Amino acid sequence: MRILGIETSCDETALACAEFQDGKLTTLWSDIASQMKKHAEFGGVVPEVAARLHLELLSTMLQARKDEIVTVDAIAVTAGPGLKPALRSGIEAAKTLAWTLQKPLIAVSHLEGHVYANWLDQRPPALPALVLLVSGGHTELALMGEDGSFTLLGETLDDAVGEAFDKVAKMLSLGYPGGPAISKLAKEGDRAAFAFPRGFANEDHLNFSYSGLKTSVLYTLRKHEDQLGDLTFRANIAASFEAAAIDALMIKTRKALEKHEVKSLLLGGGVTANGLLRARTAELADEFDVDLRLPELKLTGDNAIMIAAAGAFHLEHLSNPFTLEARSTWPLGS
Amino acid sequence: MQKRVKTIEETNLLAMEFVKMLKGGETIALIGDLGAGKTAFVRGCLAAMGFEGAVKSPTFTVMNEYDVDFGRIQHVQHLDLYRFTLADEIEAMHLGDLHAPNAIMFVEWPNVLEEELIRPDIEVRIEIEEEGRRIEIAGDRFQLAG
Repeated sequence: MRILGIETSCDETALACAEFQDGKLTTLWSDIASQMKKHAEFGGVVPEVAARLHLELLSTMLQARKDEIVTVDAIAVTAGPGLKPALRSGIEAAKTLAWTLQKPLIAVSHLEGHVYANWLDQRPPALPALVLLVSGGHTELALMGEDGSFTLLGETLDDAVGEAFDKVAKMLSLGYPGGPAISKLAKEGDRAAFAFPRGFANEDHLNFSYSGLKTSVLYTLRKHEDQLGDLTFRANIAASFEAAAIDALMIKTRKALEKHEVKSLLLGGGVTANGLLRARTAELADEFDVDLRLPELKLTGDNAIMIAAAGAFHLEHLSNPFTLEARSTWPLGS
Repeated sequence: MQKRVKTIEETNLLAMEFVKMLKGGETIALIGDLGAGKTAFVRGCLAAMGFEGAVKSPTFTVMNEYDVDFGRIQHVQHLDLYRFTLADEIEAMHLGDLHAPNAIMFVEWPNVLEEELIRPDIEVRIEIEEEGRRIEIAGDRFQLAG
């Protein structure tokens, strides 16, 4: 069967279609507005937030795929977590399509979407699995049971790891997004040059904290203000920060693997594009003999194909096209 | 009023005093550099209003909402305009619709754009000092004892 995915929870307006057959998911097509806007048809700069709120972007995208959309068997839409006005654009479009095409409507959690990106165009991961979600807005560890249910094990209590990357990049006057800029600079630096804190490293629970790391980098920069222009100093800050940020993820992931016997380790979210994270999780997966799944680089950011993928696993949980509402918060497992 | 705080506990005590003065319906601007402790101040306020869950940074989510039961205040909105680059984007959020006499709204980076889009009733300025923070609270319609 064919599942249409719609995603408007964050910065991207996205529309995609997946084929679901014999438990396998195949990408048919996947459009993302922030990439598509480069195309001449959109012309000029598209203010993303305004566009998605006014539905204009989505309407244009739906129009461009109208022949394909009439062939879908179900419609999956991100219903949360996210900013309600943004979510509503996608939800209202999905409700209208579901009603007019008389197809089932599936409300999908954006976070589950990131997890199910690991099912696309590959052999399905074995369950149970440990899930690590890392992005600008999320830092979460969860257990995914054999039945596909989620149990939240830990989450950030303040800043998300991707946000820490962006804010430290800002402190170093690097560009946005900060992740790739920090990683590039970090390659030239010494990871042990500064001893930045690893949030909750010695606590038994599986929650994260990145606010202290951010402040610690800030204090170090203020203390060495005269060296802000020095490339070696900057590279050392970037390298030491990156090491601390990724270390904090690994400390808790290791603890979770010690506590829970799983077959796979599934990663999701924008920070999974980070090279150090990819290398360190590969080592950890080897050590615990679990199957590591990292999303393809093009699927690390927000997209709609992952929403279609998650929808495929919720065909028995249909939503009412007249009453479905946006959920600003929607923790994994609830 | 202004106060120097050295520890997060002192920030929390100040937050406790601060929320007692709120009547509901206020918009509170939070002004301070990256890492100044704007979210930490909101966390202190929410804790003082009896909220027990995690108070996460709204930088990426733009807005986090909390339900509390603190006198007339039942809802707390915590916004961050840091990532916005166009006035249209903020206007499209229809922030005015969120106003309610039983809600208070904290706004981080209210001046991210040159245009004045937010009219705060209270301004909380946080400055990083050698040791700790200097927190200054001011508002036309608002007098804080101390």
